[in-house]
Amino acid sequence: MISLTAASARSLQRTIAWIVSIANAALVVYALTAMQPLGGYQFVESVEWLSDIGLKYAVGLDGINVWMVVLATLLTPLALFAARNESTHQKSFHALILVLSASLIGAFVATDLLLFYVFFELTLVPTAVLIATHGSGDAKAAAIKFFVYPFIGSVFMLASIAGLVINHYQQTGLMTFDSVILSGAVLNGTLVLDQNLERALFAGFFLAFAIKTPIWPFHTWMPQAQASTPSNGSVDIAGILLKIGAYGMLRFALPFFPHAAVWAAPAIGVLAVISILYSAVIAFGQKDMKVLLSYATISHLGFVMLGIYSQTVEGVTGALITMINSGLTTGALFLIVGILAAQRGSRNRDDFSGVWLTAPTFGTLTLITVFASIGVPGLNGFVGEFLSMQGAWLAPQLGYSYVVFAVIGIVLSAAYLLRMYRGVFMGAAPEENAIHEPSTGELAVLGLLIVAMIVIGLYPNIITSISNASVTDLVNSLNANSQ
Amino acid sequence: MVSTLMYVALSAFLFVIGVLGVTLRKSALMVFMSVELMLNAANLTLVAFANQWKSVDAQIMVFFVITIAAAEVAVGLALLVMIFRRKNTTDIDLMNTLRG
Amino acid sequence: MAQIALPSIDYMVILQILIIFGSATALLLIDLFIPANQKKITALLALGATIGALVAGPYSNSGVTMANAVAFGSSTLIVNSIILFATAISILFASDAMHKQGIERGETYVLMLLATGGMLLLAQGASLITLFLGLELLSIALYILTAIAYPRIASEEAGLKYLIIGAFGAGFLVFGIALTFGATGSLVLSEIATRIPVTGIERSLFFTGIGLMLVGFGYKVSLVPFHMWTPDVYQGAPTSITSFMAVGSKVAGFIAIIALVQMLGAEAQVITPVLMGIAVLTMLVGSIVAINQTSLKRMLAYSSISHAGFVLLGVLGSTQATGLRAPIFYLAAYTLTNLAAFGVIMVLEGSEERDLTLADLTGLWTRNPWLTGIMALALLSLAGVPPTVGFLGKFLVISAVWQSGYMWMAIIAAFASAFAAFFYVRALLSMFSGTTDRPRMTLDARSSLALLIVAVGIIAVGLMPWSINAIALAGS
Repeated sequence: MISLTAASARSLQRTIAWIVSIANAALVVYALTAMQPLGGYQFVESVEWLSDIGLKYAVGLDGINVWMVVLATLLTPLALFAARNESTHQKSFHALILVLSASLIGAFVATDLLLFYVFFELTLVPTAVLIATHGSGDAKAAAIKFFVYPFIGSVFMLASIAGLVINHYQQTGLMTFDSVILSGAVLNGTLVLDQNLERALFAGFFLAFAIKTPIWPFHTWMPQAQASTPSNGSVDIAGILLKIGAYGMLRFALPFFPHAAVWAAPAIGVLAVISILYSAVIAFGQKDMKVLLSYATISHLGFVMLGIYSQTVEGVTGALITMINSGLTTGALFLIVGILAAQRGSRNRDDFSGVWLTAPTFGTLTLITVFASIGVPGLNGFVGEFLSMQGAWLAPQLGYSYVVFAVIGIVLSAAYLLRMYRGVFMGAAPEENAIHEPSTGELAVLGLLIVAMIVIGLYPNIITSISNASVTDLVNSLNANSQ
Repeated sequence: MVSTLMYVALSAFLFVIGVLGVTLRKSALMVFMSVELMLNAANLTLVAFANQWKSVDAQIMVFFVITIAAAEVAVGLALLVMIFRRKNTTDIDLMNTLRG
Repeated sequence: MAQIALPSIDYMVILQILIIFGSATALLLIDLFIPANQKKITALLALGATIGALVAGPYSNSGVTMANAVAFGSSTLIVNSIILFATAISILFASDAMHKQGIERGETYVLMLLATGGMLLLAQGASLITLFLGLELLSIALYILTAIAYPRIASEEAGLKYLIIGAFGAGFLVFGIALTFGATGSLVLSEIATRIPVTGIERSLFFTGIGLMLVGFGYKVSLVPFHMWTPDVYQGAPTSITSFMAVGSKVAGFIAIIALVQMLGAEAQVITPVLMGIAVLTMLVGSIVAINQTSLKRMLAYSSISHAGFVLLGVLGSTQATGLRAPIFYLAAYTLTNLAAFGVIMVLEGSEERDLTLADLTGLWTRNPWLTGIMALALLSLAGVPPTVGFLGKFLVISAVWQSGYMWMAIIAAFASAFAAFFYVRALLSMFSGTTDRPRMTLDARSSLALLIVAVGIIAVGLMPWSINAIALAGS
């Protein structure tokens, strides 16, 4: 449905890019209002693709992926906005962003496993080309790394998909890639996997998603890629859409392999906690603000992983909200760094000081965004991180020790973000070339994002009312299985 | 009456000589002759077995092999002459324009 | 003396072969009357013959004829169509590129038709004699085509090298045929299948024969360790010929290997472990050595080696349940993709004789965006990234192999393909980064048309895989 709109309108013109992205956003808002607060998929579309091996073009929305789609469609115009002054390769840029957006949405809505895989890999191509064409520094090396790391992971997932489908076929005689049928078969016991085989197949999925997410120690491709992207932050905003890794864990890795997931949860929890702490420590020493933000993203995703592998309603909801938050707040921060970099021609935090004095409105908006990212109560970051940690605490396979370390991570993230803020916005303003207030349009966009952060912070029900039924279904099926 | 296996043993022997010739000799002409030896070893086997099975199929095959071998050598010698005119050698180890 | 009874011939079974050989012979004469600067007329006639044969496919009769020597069926139809499609595209490429480089000759097209006839014969072969004849017809024509860029010394050396290796392989093939005949007393595949000896010296003779034949075909499709010639010959031959050779001889060679494996039936398990090892080795060697290559044609040569390993795996993974879909689909994917990749390289060479390197791709995006797009599609398809046809081929092979019980082989195959992605992506991103001062290349109508067809094919078949099955259904 939605992915088709974007894909068919792979236009080269900037205006059309805008129209398409806004039309998509409108479509999604419509879908959101028309959404029933029920479990299961709605707006399902299914077309036979390669029928003799059971391939289908099947898409649908439920309470979980609809939010991913909302995020993707709202951030696409933001990325275009951030790039509004970019002059080189204008045409290819807009086309690539749209292709990326289309393949992302495709991956989120796909219910057919192989279709998901197709979109999952397709997201690599436009992003790698964006980095190579628009990047600075050793952009080509970064782009290769960006492509090859996740690609290697995803190939193992492909082997796992083959293994899962073939085992299902051998046990039930039905050749299908439909994720609903496959997870249903796992749930009601028509598909029973040998313990070692289940763990091996799970490992394939986990590897692909962990690299994509990324969590420590699979993250090395990400900061390098982000250091080489254009300073205006456009590509990074598109990049933070790449929540497919975490989404895939939740949607596919867990329901297909519930026993293996419970078995692996403590180890994955440790990786998640290391991700949170490690990225906070590294971010502390970063002078390049863009790289700092990319570590902040890795830190957020650590919380997402904790929430997902808690396999509780609280944890999964927290993970979902944290994914949305990370998109909103980090997106806003990339935009801010882009604005700063455009005026000064540098992203090094040491090159700035006293911005507050010459641009107070901008400074205020930035402060609120930073607070949201840190997780100050009343803003969105708090809700997500709190729920994730609550879930982890409650989960029998994780427990409070994980939460203790995660809290340390939050403190550290407050430290590095506030340090950056103090360095850039506080202190004495330079005598010449002071940073001036950005344009009204830029402020308005930031304002809109902040309104969204406050709304989610004060009234998280707006998300949970739609997601709750689906999350509960998912968690119940997991728990029914792992006992 | 010589048993068929004796013929097979002889032709296997000739075949191995052919293989060694192709791999060890440097002159392209000697290599061609060694290939001929391999093909004719196969022909001998075919004829011997054709006699054992009383079948003409294998004998037809022999005719084809002879024809094809002639065609192959015709092309090969033509190429060799062209290269010899340019490089004044038939040593295949010296044909090293292509290196990766 | 008994009268020799000539076998009856159903000409409709060999319709496509007849068209190709008939027009090749006629063209050899016609070409005498075509002036040297008008050789594109010859190309056009050859193209017409190829398309005629392609169209004639669905009208051919299924069955076996000429004393069980030649057969035709629905899978043959697909394979023949792939071969003829590759020939048609290659003729378009050759007539543009060879004209630009001043090495256009009328014989080129005649030889391409003869080689195509050999490939068709190989694909339709139902007896060892036919397989041998098809292989040699195809090979001898290709030896000449490889060396046709006279006076380029690289081309001649490549031709001679190809010939020596080819003849060496043929020696193994013929000796293998001889031993197989000795063990079973027949040269017809379907008869041999019923007479596979179960014990004694005949059994060892038989499997020695099969092994030697596989060595012979292994040279043709460049399986490790019979692959050493591939990079040199691919690099030395004119690029339009390289694409024809890379695609056609590999498809035809694999069809012969498939025929042999099918003939063995359940007995194939005797040689399966060895072939599995060879397949894995081929995939790994192809992928690993390719990383060090700077020449684009050599890189594609190693890539084709690695893909050969994949096809072989697909052949071994094919069971009664899955049929031959995986390897045949993979070959179709390979054909489309390689034609596109070599086609772009050929256009980039222009009138130069220089061997292009990875550095020549730098900044291609800024001077030829459409060419870049097609090359990008080809490279993605080689790497197996969706939604290209290469992805579906890879997936079908992996699942076929897993389904027939070789889980570890499937995982190794996945690993090898991930490893291979590195150099495709490196080439892909080279095109999009940096700038270049080399001039923009202009495309001739023939090359543009051919490139457009294969590029559309890479996407269309990737999205609508049933389109290949549809061709098969049209014939039945």
